[in-house]
Amino acid sequence: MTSAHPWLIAACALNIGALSSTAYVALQYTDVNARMAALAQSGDAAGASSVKPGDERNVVEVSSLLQELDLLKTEMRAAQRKFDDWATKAKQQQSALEEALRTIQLKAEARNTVASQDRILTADELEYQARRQTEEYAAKARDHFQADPIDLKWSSQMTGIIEEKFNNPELKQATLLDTECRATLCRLSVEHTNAQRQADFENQLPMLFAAELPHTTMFQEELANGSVRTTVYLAREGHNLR
Amino acid sequence: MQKTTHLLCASLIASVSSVFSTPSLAVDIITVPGSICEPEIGAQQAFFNNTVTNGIQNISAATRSVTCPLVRDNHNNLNGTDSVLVVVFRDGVAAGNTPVTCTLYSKSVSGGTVASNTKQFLGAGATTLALDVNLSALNGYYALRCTLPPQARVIDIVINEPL
Repeated sequence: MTSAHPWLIAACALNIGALSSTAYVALQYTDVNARMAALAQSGDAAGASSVKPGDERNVVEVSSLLQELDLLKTEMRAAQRKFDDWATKAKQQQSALEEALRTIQLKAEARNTVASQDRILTADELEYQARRQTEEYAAKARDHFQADPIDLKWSSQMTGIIEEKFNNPELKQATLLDTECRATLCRLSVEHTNAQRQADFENQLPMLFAAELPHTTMFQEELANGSVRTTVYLAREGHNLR
Repeated sequence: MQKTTHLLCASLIASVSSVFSTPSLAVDIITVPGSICEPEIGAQQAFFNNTVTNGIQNISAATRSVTCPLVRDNHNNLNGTDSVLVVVFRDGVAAGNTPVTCTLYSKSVSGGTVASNTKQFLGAGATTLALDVNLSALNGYYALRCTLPPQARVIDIVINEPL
């Protein structure tokens, strides 16, 4: 199946729906108009021929005409309501089809993105892609953390546990610069003297917080003096990092 | 007229939605033996047994770590794993108070930790640790790291990855 078919089918559905609604309402109007014209003619004829005061037949005829006129008015209102219903339904159908078209468009774009990712990347492209993605993830993690409400009790309890863990020999090579906990997440800022120590830290930290904060994500930044600064986000059990 | 129009529209919408409806979520399941794991420090090879039946086992008197590379089929997926199940064994006597601890890592192409999840086992005998990460990087990789107290083993790893 090529990508042209979904557009074609959706457009057909949209057109047929709209045309059918319009045709139906037009027919209803034509019918009512024809009947009103006939009634008007018949009324004119009756008036022109024999208008005699007190003629019971005329009274009955006028009364019957008035009734028919009322009936026509009722039918006209009913037709108007039907037209309004059709217009509403047509609008709803149009919105649904436009939404379907947007979904199809998005799917096509996603397919193209995957296709471009499936080709062989150059080293530069790979690095660029990775850098961009890390920046994006870091921004999302920051936003997610800032949106986390504050639970003072849990926050102060966790801050204490974190600071204590940094006395552990396995983390002694890392300098804890800042700790902040909220209701489900904690953020640490840690500095390491070199990249090797930062890598060791990445290995050790998740194990040390397995019980209290089992989910982590980390972002590192190399500083001009060769040291590395890591921002760590940790989440308590049952909570996500994004 | 009205019925015909309704039927026509309904059938067209049904055809469109059936052609473009998404299939149910598929999962790629990969299993690997624990023997795929390696001592974290190469020189510690002598402290481990690595067999088909028992997987990798710490036969030394100290707690030691192993790393296990995990195959990732879907390199475009950004949502991490569905789950990674690690079957481990802990000898309640030899291990003392030290738990078996395993961390699942989702790494970027440059080795940065995109996400990790850690679980521990302090009981005796075999158990399954269910780990999961919900973030992954394009072309990044997954890896498992377990610290094994004396006599503890990693026997089997099951990776459930979204396709």
